[in-house]
Amino acid sequence: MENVIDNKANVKAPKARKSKGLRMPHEKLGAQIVILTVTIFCLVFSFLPLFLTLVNSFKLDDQVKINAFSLPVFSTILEAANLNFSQAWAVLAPYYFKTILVAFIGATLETLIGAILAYILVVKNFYFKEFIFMLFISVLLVPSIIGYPILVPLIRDSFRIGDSYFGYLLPMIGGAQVTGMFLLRTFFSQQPKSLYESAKLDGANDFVLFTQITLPLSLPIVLYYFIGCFSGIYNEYLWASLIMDSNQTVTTIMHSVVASGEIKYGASYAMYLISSVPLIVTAVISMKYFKSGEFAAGLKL
Amino acid sequence: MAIGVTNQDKKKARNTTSILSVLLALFTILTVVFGVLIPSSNEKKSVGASEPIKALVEGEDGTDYFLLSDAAMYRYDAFTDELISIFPLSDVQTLLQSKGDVDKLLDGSLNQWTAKYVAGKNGEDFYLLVDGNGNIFKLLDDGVRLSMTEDYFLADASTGKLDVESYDDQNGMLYCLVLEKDSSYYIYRLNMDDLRSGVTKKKQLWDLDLEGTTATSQKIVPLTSAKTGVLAFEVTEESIYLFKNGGGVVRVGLGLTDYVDENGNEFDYLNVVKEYYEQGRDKLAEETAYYSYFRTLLLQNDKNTHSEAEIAAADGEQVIAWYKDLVSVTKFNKENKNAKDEAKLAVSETFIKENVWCEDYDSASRSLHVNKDYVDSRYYSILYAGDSNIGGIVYSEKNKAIYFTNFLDGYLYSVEKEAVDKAECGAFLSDIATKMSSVKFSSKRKFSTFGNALGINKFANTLYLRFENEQTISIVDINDKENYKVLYTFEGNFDVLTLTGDKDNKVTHVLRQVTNVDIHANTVTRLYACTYEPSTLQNKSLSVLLFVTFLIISVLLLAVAIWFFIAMKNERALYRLKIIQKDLKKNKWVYLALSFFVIMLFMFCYYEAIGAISMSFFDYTQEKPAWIWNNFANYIKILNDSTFWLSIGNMLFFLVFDLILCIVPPLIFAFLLILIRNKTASGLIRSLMFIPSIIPSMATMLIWRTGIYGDTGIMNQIIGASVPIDFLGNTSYARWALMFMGFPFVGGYLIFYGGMMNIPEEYHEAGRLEGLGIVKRFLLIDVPLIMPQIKYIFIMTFISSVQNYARTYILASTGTTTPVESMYTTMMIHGDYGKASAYATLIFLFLFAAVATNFKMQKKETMGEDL
Repeated sequence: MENVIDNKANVKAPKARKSKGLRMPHEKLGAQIVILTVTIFCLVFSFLPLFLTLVNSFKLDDQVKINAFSLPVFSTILEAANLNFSQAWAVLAPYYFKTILVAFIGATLETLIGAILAYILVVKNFYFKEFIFMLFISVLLVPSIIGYPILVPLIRDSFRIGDSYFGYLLPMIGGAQVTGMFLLRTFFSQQPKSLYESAKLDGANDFVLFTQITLPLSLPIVLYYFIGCFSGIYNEYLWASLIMDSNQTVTTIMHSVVASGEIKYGASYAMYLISSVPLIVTAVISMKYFKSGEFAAGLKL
Repeated sequence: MAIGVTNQDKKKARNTTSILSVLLALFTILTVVFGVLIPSSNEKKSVGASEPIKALVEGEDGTDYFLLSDAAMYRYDAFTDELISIFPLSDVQTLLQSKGDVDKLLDGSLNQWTAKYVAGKNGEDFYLLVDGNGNIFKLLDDGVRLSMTEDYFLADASTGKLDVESYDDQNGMLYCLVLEKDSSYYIYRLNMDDLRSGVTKKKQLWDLDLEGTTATSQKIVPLTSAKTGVLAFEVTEESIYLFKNGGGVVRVGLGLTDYVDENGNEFDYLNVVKEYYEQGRDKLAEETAYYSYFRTLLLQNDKNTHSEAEIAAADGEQVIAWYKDLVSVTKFNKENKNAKDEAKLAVSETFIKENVWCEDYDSASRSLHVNKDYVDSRYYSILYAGDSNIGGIVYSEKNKAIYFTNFLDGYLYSVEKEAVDKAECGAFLSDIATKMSSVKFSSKRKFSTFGNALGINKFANTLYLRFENEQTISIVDINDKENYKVLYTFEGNFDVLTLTGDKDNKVTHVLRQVTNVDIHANTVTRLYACTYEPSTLQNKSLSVLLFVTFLIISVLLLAVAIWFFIAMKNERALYRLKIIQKDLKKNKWVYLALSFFVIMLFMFCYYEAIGAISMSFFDYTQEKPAWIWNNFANYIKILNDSTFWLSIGNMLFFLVFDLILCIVPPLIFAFLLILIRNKTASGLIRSLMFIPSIIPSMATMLIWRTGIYGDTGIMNQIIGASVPIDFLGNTSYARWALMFMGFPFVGGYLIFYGGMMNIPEEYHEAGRLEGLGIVKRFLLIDVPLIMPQIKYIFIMTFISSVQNYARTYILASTGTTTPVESMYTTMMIHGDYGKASAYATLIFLFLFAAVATNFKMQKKETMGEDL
């Protein structure tokens, strides 16, 4: 396993081989046991909400009320699951696939726009580059929430696209391009310039450069950003609640049924479990690409 | 210097400058047109939009209706709902000021001045405007616009406030119900004919004679006291009906000019009633002190049980009192005043009918005390509510019937007008009313107890019923007397001030918004604040959009033109221009693509940020989307609000702990992961750490809210207290409970881990050789080397913590309000965008100050490194 780390390190930065003679204090067995205990403790507690969701969505309401930690009782598991999931699905069904689709489209567009913008600002040379970069980067100083009192009437009254998924996505895409550009630009600029030079000599145009060099070379970070956008839109609550009335998203409908007490105990956990399904995909992708955390090297201000 | 600049270039620059100047002039004109001229016409329309609409008045023939606010009178076409014209009430003010009559006003000023009533008939040349103080103004009407005339009547100290008004266009009389200073209602009658002939001596014309003897205006006897209140006031050809709050009808006959007494004198009916009153009063005067005494005694004795005691009768020996809510009689012995005679009599209808009765006895006032024997029921009668408690009452001219809702049994009742007229004085309304049992509503529905429970559409002859416990309005067709039908039941979320309708049978109800409900199409159109008809709104936003676009183009053109102008003189500038020109040509696709991004940026970032900061200085609410300067009132309100300072404290509390919890635990956790020797174990832990993130953040917060902190949540299950602890509802725990959410706070370790992974091993070895222990290595090597990541997380946490609205809102905790949550509630619940903008601006200023300092330090490195 050490080789894996070393290989990756070689890509990022040349690193000296570890000399055998020196023994670090933490490598002692006792220290290792302490370290493992602490990390596993943190791990277990991070699972608390997920654990509650998993066990309680297969329990009857009374069982949840008595002890939320207990495992589902085998004899009632089918009855409880049937009861909880049918109730939960009845609430989520009208908006579930719509929300996933909207989040997917939104994340795709946000990533694409961010990447194109970052590509232009990194690869192209033009006179107003610095000015335009400043124009974008200044927006990072402005919290997105400040614009809502203006944005809501703009979307609802001027554009008349309130209460629609289009009106929901449009400003998010418009606002997200800055963060996307800012993140991706850092990574794009770390790509070797020589690759671009030689490709240009071979007659590659910008489209080819962008799709054949820039994107493949920075796939992890683009994916990271895409996943961030996807779960960002999927998890969005404030903006959705401001702009949607009859159209809802999974988050707004979950909040409203739980806040009103319409759905309780087992059924609410079943609802949380159903709502987690799209994020399982993102978690699996994250596990594959980001476990090493190496993309973080480029994350800085 | 000036290499590559030829004379030709100079010539080109000159030509371009002139072309640019022409374009600039053109766009400047367009900007001015859209920015100044069109908005100013809109602005004129939006006069008064600063105030909520107070009343809706139908035009007499249903072709138009008026919405009255404190600042203007908006005239709408009843068929198309289009705004026809606006009469700004400042015109009245201007006229009064020019005449020097402002001092004569009741309040001595026109502050808090409200229009209350408009009377008139469409097609005639005038309307009457009555304001809340009882001042009456005659307005000329040209069919579209209204304009002031010099005919007006100013209420003064001798007259009270006009309360309910009605215009009898048949006889050309304006009847006003006036609440006078003695807390009694009086009817005034004003003859419109004199107005129409344009009498110049307006003062004389309008002066109301309190003795009620002049032909043009008359004051009728006090009818009921302010305590009881008047629900509605209906003038028909024959009678005036006064519907009292809670029940009861007072009828004053009209139009009977043939009354002749035994001496052959012709009497005006109003004078007849007046005389009854005078006689009754004389008789009453003797007993006033006596009554007063017993009333006090009665109220003292029964304070706890019955507050509304009425003196029913006194026969000189004893006083008999009865209660509104309990039909029983208590006898008082005149001789032994201090003791209440415990004998209680069951009150019967006949008892009340046959006894002397007094109406709304008030010891301080000259109360009406009419002996039944004096009353000629042709002219004056009072009907009691009986078993009904009336929430709303209307009169249908077509059916010649009175309709009322009885919220005791939840039925609608109808009474023929003839039956009311014929009924003996003192009769019960419930005896002569017919229950409209064909109109049934769900037993769950309760009629509103307020005055707006019932409305009538005069033109379609339908009733509108409002229910209190459900947001429902039902429409009942009363055209077929044999078979009343519920046409439609509309459900929605609204506050109702006025229920009225037009010929299309639309319901228009007013309070916060004017909403038109089209019962045929089953649609609801929200007309924002009356001044903003959808069409006007669209035009306005379009013109604003065009104005902004043209303004930007003009500014850009100006900048470019100035540059070219300088270039004409200065060779260096010309040279630079040439370079830019070349660059623009070469990178035209780049600029084209960028223009899309920049437009998006301006539309969804800059416009909002600049707009919100600007809006924070204005009144701008959901009901009245108009920018009205308010002298920093939004900020003053916020800064004077003590909860704001509490919320700042909460914000700082969360900020400090968020910063600590988002940096320290993940940093240590990442470091521990680095230290794990067994790379399989470390890899497994890192993989597993992704799994909890599959739960959406909303679900996580809801789990903490109900599953962990809730009444049956695990915290309470663990503690096992008999009474569940309300962690989020208790001010002293709530902040800590929120803070503890997210335990063990290591979720954000990945970026630190990645940073630490990339620290070359030889640093650690060197540290080891220097004898650094594990803690010292962490503090002196790892932490300083991943400072960029720490800064990144620091800034991001800073920004998101201050903006974290979801935590306090979704967990519904008490005492944990933050400025962001206040902003959200101000915007979404109160619809006050101006104040919400002020909150947003304050949050922005705080964040800007904090983040800009940091950015300034970092910007140079980043720019230098990457560009």
